[in-house]
Amino acid sequence: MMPSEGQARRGPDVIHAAAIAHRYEGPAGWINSLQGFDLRISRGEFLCIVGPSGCGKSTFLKIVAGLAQPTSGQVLLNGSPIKGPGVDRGIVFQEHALFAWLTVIKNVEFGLKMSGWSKASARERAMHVLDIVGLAQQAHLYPYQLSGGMKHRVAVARAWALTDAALLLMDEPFSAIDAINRMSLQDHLIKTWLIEPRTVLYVTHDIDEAVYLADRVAILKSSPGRVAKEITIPISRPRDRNAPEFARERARITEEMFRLSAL
Amino acid sequence: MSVELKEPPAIGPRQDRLPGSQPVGVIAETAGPIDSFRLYARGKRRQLARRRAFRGVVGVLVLLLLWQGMSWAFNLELILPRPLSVMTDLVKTLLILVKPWLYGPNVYVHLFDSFLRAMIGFGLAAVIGIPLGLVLGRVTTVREYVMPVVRGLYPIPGIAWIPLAILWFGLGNEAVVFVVFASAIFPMIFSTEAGAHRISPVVLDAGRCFGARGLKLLLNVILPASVPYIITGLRVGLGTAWRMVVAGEMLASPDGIGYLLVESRFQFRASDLMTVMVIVGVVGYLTEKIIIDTVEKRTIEKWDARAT
Repeated sequence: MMPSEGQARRGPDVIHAAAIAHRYEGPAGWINSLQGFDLRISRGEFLCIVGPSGCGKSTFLKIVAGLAQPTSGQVLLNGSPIKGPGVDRGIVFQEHALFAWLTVIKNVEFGLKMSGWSKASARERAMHVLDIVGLAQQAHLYPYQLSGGMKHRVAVARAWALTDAALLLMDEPFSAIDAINRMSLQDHLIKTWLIEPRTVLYVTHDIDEAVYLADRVAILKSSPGRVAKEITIPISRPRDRNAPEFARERARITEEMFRLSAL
Repeated sequence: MSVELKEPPAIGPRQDRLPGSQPVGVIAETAGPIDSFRLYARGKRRQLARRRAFRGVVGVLVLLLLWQGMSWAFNLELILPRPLSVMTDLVKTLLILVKPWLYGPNVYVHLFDSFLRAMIGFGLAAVIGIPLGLVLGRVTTVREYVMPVVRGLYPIPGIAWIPLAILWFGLGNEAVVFVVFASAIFPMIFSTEAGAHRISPVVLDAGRCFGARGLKLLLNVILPASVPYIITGLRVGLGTAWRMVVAGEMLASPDGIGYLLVESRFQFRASDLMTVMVIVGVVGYLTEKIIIDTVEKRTIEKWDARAT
């Protein structure tokens, strides 16, 4: 039995966004990037936001990260309003954004050390996470010595290491990677998530990726950006990209996106 | 000059030790090619270094030849001594064999005085200029208040500070150190400011999201991210310091390399003058090479293969 759409809650809300609006002054006047944006994410959920370019999905992620402020409305993180960036959220950027001057393990330790962890426990935690993402051997290399895919795995590990993070934010982390490597990165991500479950907000424009990763997919409509439809993906994990139900879910989302953009 | 360069070694797992780490045992296949490549790159780097040294020596020799030609053509040994006689003078000076020696303590004492003054002025300039540059690059309020002052002071030549420095500090160490400082600080402020200003926004966002703010952000993100620019500032600042220490000593000091220059002119000994100039050039070059190359090796060359 399929749960009714948008109702597959597993725990209390980690994120509760109500009536978010965001506008900014672009080169050709004011742009309403978000308006009437409502979204809830419950604990332990893997939520993907999909939508065409320029629909405001990255803007919403930035607001949750504390890197941008909504013009009106409020995002609650575990019930309290977000005030600036912090280690209670882990983030993976579209560009890996690693610190070039730190080795892999020091990149992963960074957030822990900044939040006052002792050297030894930060190292232990970082090593553990690197082990999960399969980069323990590369711990003492510098980012420039890694392949593109490895850099993104380090970026994921850096966010994942934050045990205090209620939520992991991922902004199209693998969109610049070729298709084959992207699939392997997705596999790594899901494997990590199954070993150590976290609440994830994942922004992408890739429908396949959303169907492969998400518990629930929020489809955005653009100008102004808002959640137009929420779809629960009822496929058990690990998922098979070639299974008929996978194709069915993909078709459902594709159809929905076409219907929304035609309106 | 030809150096045999092997092909990059075959790819495969191998036992090795990574820089700055404990032995990691057998490195997975993914680390193999990177590591082998590093050996290959090291050979290539050495080959290039040898070529650079060779060409550098040739450049110096060509200059000496031109000089020799000029001194033959003009035949004015008294004011344009031949390179060979300057070289002889140089060796004698360095071996403290010049008789009579007209300049007080031997050349090393003068050189050490100058070196110390240059380093103290340069060090003060770095300690004040780099943090100031970082703040100017990142904090708009401070930049808008302070940058016009910095820009206004910058065109005043270091040498123009000397009379004032003499009034303030008298003849001697403090006056010279002050003019060195007042000249060397500008390249460091400007370079560091440019570097801090140009940090990729996403790297700053990453720093903030992973809990660095205020002073922590400055030390752990903004400073290291600006290092390539800071190194340029240090390089230019060190050259400036060295030039200004000589200029300062010519006017405000009873000892040091600058004093040697002025005094050899008074003694009408062009050969001594040129000897001292050669010493200034060589020591300045070596100081820069040793100090800045060390900083570079420990920072950007370690972080980024492209920097080598």
